[in-house]
Parts: sequence; C-alpha cells; structure tokens
Amino acid sequence: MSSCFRDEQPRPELPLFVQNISTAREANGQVYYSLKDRKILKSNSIDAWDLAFSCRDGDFEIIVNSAKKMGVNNTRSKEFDVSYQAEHKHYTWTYDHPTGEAKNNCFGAWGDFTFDNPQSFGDVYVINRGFDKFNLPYQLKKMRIDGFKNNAYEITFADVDGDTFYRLTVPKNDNFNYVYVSLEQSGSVFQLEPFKENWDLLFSNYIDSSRYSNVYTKSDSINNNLTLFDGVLLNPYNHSVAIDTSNGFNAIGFFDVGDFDYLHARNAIGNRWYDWNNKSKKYVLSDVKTFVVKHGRLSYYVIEFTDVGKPRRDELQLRFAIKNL
Amino acid sequence: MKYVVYSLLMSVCWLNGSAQKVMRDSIIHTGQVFELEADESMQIAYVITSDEINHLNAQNLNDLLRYTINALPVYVGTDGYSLDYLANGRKSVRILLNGLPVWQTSIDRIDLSRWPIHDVEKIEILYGTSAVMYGSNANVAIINIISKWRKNSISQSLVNFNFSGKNEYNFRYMNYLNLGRHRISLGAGRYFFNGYSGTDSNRVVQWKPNQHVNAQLRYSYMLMHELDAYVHINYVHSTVIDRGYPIPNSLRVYDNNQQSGNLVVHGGIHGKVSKYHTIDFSHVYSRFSLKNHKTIKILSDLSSQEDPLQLPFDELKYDEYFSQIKIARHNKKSKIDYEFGMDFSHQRDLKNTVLEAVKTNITQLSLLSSITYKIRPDFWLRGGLRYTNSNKFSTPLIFNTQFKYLMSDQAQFLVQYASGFRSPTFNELFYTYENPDINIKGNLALQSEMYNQLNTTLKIASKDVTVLTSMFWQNTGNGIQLVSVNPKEQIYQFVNTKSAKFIAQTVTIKTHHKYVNTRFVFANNGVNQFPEEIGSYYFFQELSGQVKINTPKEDFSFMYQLKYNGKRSEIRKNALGTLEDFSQKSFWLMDISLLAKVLEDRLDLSIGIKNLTDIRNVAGKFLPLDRFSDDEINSKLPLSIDFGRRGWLSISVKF
Repeated sequence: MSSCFRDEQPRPELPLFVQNISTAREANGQVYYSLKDRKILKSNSIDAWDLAFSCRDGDFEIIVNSAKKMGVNNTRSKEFDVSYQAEHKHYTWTYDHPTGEAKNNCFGAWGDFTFDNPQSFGDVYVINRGFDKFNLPYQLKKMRIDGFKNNAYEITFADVDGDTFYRLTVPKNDNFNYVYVSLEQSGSVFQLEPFKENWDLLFSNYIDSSRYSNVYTKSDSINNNLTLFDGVLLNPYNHSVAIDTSNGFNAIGFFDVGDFDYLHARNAIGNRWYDWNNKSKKYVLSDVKTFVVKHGRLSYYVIEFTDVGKPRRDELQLRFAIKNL
Repeated sequence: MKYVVYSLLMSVCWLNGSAQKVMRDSIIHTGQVFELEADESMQIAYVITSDEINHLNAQNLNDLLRYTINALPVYVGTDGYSLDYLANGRKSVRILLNGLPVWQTSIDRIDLSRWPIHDVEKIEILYGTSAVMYGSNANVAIINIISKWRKNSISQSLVNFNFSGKNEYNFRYMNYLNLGRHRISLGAGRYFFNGYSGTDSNRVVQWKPNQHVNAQLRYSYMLMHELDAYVHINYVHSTVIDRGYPIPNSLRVYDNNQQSGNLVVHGGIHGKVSKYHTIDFSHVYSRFSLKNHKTIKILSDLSSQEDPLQLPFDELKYDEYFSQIKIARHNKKSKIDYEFGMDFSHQRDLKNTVLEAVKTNITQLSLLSSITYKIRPDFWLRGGLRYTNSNKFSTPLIFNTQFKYLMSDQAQFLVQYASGFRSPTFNELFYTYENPDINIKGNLALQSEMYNQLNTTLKIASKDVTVLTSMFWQNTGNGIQLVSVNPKEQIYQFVNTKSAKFIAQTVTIKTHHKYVNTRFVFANNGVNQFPEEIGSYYFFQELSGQVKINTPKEDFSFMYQLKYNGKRSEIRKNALGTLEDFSQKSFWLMDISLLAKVLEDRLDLSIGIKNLTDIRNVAGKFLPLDRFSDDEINSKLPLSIDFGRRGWLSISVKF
C-alpha cells in the first residue's frame, strides 16, 4: 500500500566543511567548539581560572587548570591558620588525570559524599597555581573545602603563608559541566563554558602522560611521567569518541558507527593526531587523525585533522574537516 | 454575566415580538434510548447534516469538527489529530457511532482524521454531560455519528471520486440493498494524501503522507415493525509516512512508517418492542493496533536500516468488549417516562498483559436509571443515576438532574445539574517507561477524574429565527495529571491531583428561509486550571458562521462556512511541575462550495475551495501533556490547523 506514496529522490552530498582554529595563550588559549553548529562558541585565556567545581548532580569533583600546569598537594593537616612553606620545592605535586576520571584527580575525595550535604574532611590543600606566560610560577595558595550546603560548595583560601583568608560560595548550575573559580586576590566565581549541551570539543593545553606520545620532546615536561601538550579535550557530558585507524574520513558512513568502540576519556582525541618530526623540526599529522565523536543518541560527527602548526610556544594552529553523519 | 445580558437582549430584538409556533421538525437520537423530536429532548443538540458534510467536502471526522464551535483539533504529527474540546482535552468528549462506542475510553491515542464519515445521515453534538447515559468521558459533549440507510429503492449504489489541489485523491463506493425484512449496506473507501506539495526529499514541511482504507458492512433484519436486529462492521487501516527532518548539517533522517488498524463491530437488537417501550440490547467489540516501523535513512543514497531504538509505545494493541441493555418507556401523553439498564465493558492491553503481577485490563460494570416526570405539560423534570464498579479503580455515584420549562410555544428554558467522570487510561494506570531523563511508573491506586456541571439554555424560536443562549459551569476535581513523585529518582506518575474550573457561554442564531438558511454561533469560554493557587481565568472566543442558499428545485446549492478561533494565552503546569505559557494566535477558516444535482439526481457535482485563508501552522505552542515520549513530552509543537488553501472537486454517481 505504501508504494502509492511518491518516491523520494536522492539528494547530493553536502559540501565538505573545513574549520581552522588558532589559539594563543593570552587571547584564546582555550576554545570551546560546537560540531553541530560548526563554530567556536566561546574562548578564554588560559590564565582566567584556577579551579573548576562539578555541577553534575551527585558529583562533587574539583579539577584544576592543567593548561597552566596546576597541581595540588594535600597536606593532610586540618590546621588552616598556620603558615605553610612558600616555595614549590617543598611539595610533591599531584596532577589531574588526563582522562578526567574523578577518583584519580588531584583533589580526589575531599569529603564523605554519602551524606545529602557532603561532609568535608577539612584537609588543607596547597594549590600550585601553575606558571604564567613567562613560565614564572604563580604564588602558592592554601585552601580548605568547608563543605557542600544548599547546592553550593564552600571553600576558604589564603596565601600559603598568609593569615588573611577568603571564603567563597560556589553554587552548582545544572546547565554547565563546571563552575569556575579564580583564586586571584579575594577570589571570584564565574562561568566560562558554554551550556553543556551545546559544545563538543575543547582546544586547550592539558597535562597528559608522556609515554603515550613521542611529542613530549618538544613540549613542556612536568615531571618524568607527565608533559604539557596542546590537544583536544572532549565535553564530558554525554559525549564519547571512537578512534578510526583503518577506514578513513570519506569511507565512514552512519551505518558504520556501530562498529566502533567509544571512549569516554576526556583525552580520547587528546594529542594522538599529531607528532613531532625531528628531521623537519615541525609538527606533522600522525597516522591516527580521524575520529568519530558521538553526542547523545542521535549525533555523530567524523572529524579529520588536516593540518597542524605551532608558530610560537603558546600558540597552536590546526585545521580539521567535519562530516555530520 | 454581561454576556448573558447581551445575548438575551439580542434574542429579544431579533424576534421582535412576532414569534410563531414553529419548532424544527427533526429527530434526535442522542441522550436517551428512544428517538425524540428535538423539542422533546431535555438537552439541545447541534446537528450537522449530510448536506453540510458534502458542502464542506469533509472526508473524516477531523475535517468536519474543526468547523464546529468549541472543538479545536490539534495536529500531533504521526498520530494525526487529537481533539481539544471546550479546552478540556479530548478525554472529556465521547464519540459514538449510532449511540455505541467507537474508541475505547482507556486508550490515549485517537486520531480523528482516520475515521471516515462517508455514510453519515447526520452528526449530533449534545452539549453538557451525559455520563448517566453514556458513562466515562461523556462530560462536556457527546458526538454521535448517525449512519445512513437508503430506503427508497431495492438497490442503490453510489460511487464518489474526490480530488483536491493538495494531493488528496479519494474514492468511495457504497451499495444499499433492501430485500424485504433484510437491509444490507456495503461500502469501501480510500483516503489518500500524498503529502504537502513539493518534492518529498525537501522534507521542509511536516504534513505526513497518509492513506486510510476503510471497509464497512451493515446488515439489519426487521424483527418487528421498528425493531431491528443488526450487525455493523467497520474497519479502518491507516498508513502514515512520517518523513523526518534531516539531522542538522547531515543527510540522515529518522523515518517512521506507521501502520494502524481499527476494527469496530456493533451488533444487537434495537427498537420498539411495544407502542411505548424501546429496548437497546447491544454488543460492541473494538480492536485497535498500531506499529511503528522506524528506519534510519541516508538521503544521499537512500540507503536505510531499521532504527534499533524501539520504544514501548511503538507497538500497541488493545481491545474491548462492551455490551449494554437498556429499556425505556416513552409516551408523549404520559406523565412519567423512564429508562434503566446496565452496561459492561472489558478493555485489555494485549501487548502488555501483566504489570507487577497485575493484569493490564479494565473491567467496568454499570447500572443506570433515569426518570422523566412531567409535573405539568409545561414543566418537566428528569433525574438519573449511574453506579459504576470497576476492578481497577473506584468511581462515585454519578447523578443527573434536568429541568425543562416550556414558557410558551416559542420559548423554553432548560437547566441541567449533573456529574460525570473520566476513568483512567491504560497508560495512566499501567504505563512504565524508563530512560535517563524521566521514569514513568504506573499508578494502580488511580481513581476516576470527576466533573460537576451546571448548564442552562434558553431557546426562543419563531418561524424564521431560532435563538439559543447557553451558560455552562464546570468544576473538575480529582483530575489526573502526570507529576513528579520522586524528584531524586526522577520518577513520575499520574496521580489524582488536578482541579480546574470552566465557564462558557454560547449564543446560536439560526434563520430559516425557503432558499436561504444561516447559522451563527458565538462562544466565549473561560478556563481556570489553578483555582486553588492562582485563581485566574483565561478566556478565548470562537465564532462559527454558515450561509446556505438553495435554488427552488434544490438542484443547486451554495454554502459559505467560516470558523474563527480567538487568541488563547494561558499558563499550564507541565509534568515537571513548572509553569509554562501556552499560547496560540487567532485564526480564521473559510470554505465556499457549490453543489449541483444533475441527471435527475443521479449525478452530484460539487466544487469548492477549502481554507481560503490558507492557514497551515498557527503561531503558538502546544504542550501535549498526555503523551509519552522522551522527545515529545512537554515539547512545544506548532499548532497545525490545516494544510492550506486548495480547490476540490467531487463527483458522485448514483445508480
């Protein structure tokens, strides 16, 4: 019966869409990109923030700004009023896990989350706020997480050897993945990200494991295991990524998306799409440069990186093609 | 109150003191077991004749009702048209075929545009509750489709071809046989809409191509004069192709080929067993099934695959067995008339047969009685009761009191104070649906939604003019609404929590002339969904007008029909508990048509233009609160009224 209905004519393929992205630490070191809208939604300086507090219901994760090489030392002390050592060398720093796994982040479990309003352990953390554009260290801070009440985090912080302390209330907002905090002066709370539903990729520096790439020789080494990379991070909300190693950008169609394994790690794309060529002394594209990004149930995008360059230390230029499946 | 005064003044001025004794000579089937002359009825019926249906070129119930007052068909995509009746939603109106149920009261998905009205003598719309007589859902109105018998020849056939300028191609065939005591009617029809104009691959408009094929058989055997045994079988099979919009910046689309079937079998004995006694011993079996065949298609090469996401409502299967016996005594000269009887309904969800060890069926047994007492020739009282017992929920005793005062031969005043109910549906009782955003759980403790209603009607009729003014007050209590019952776990349930108030006034003015007949109806309706919390009404107005001109030989007629829906703007509470604006801009529908009977009434030719105002989507948003889908629940859809201006041609041949 349904054959009576008018037949449909095939439509021509959509033209290839190519996107150029240029980042520079101070102007737009972190760039939020929407594959659906095919545009940059927001960008900010790498130095704009220090800490980010999870807005996800039931989640109390705190992350640090890896892009400026931030780390944390848990003193295990409950005494906030005392002075702590002001030099970096006195501390062993822990860094956020590059995959974004909350349990391995440097703050870890800062309290007992089994309560409706989590109870803080009251530990004092020394915050390594990273390095500025001249690669000079920011001043250390000490911080205590006081707890979580009325859907808001409460923190107290001060200069690591200071006795003037500041309190901040950081309210959750379900429209975003994180709410951001700067510990500069008396501190501030603000939103940096676009709405969590709207963006897919974050172009930014981030700390990753050195052994996963041969790029580290050219990048900022953090320690024996970790290096600061330029890379692409995934929106943790409702996103996953498959790495294509054999099909190629043009060959992947919608009906192939079920054949891939999807990773939820924030660094699933990360830095694996480029290498450092020692001979030409240039960044070059690696063999693995095609990825399938999945958002929710219905949205699949194939991206292929087609160019990469790093004209200066704090800058990155890249180009990629997008195909909506 | 000022509307009452205006309408009374209007009616007095119109009649101008020259009223004469003429009441329209029509028979009303709805509201009681026996047939009545319109003036004897305790309620006022709005009648749509087959002639009007032909002039409107209405192919289905939705096409027709959208031109009537107080009815707002709402386009709900693949599921066709739902009906918002008197701002009460569709669940407060009962649709009947020859006084018997067509659709089960326990299913949520009813598409008025799938029910053909090919073989219709007339449609009676009875305003006010008739819950004592018809049970659940008969709260604000009854829509009763009366089928046609052709008795003037042994055999008669009718073939109709019908086309419109917007890809509608319709055909129907009817045959009537009168053989002694036997009467047989056979019919088949096909409504075919090939989608909105433009190539399908553009996929820029939402009108779904669809096809509804129907077949019917009616057989009647005259047991006695005015007493018939009958069987009436109707089957409608529908195909709706839902061609989705491409995912942005891609050529991927999600399509749905929806197949549904609706079988309705009526059988029994109906008619007079004595001079004054009428019986109705009827059985109904109805079955509704629906299957969504969902596919994912790539528009560049038209390759497709089955969509792996199958949701619980992608396959539905329900049936109902209903039976009733009603006995009535009616004597024009007697002071007392009475009706009593019982009905039984057993409805089943055949797809999901058990939920948490409870069988997903609803059984109801009702006893009913009604007495009309003519205290004086000009002063009538009618009272009725219905007791309902169900295996799944409770319903209080339903009552009905009516009062009729014949002030003169030209004027009468009617009052009705009655209660009504709406029984919970399968979805509300049993539905269980889980996804990350919303978990709906059935509520086996649900009770019937209750209505209390007072309405008054003043009717003044002269030879040339009839004026009706009606006032209508209704309170809804124990209303069923989807609410969050456990915010932490995001669990939602239908619970008896809603209350609402409704007031309405309708003024009808009809003029009767040998060649020219007109009918204008104005309605002003007010709804207050938050009598406890906010306590504010919102009002909306409707206007319906009709001018019909006949030639002296009645071989040529012209009709002009208009319907105005005023702007609506209200606040509703959605399932998430937040208040949302509902708004809809005003719109007009207008039709004109010409009908010519040639070759000694063997050939009818009619042409017309539908929807002169070219209304398609009306700006506004509609919250389909009674639907279930993670994508659709609480989503805002444009109110699509029609698919635009189009000319039409209809050719009917009788032989």
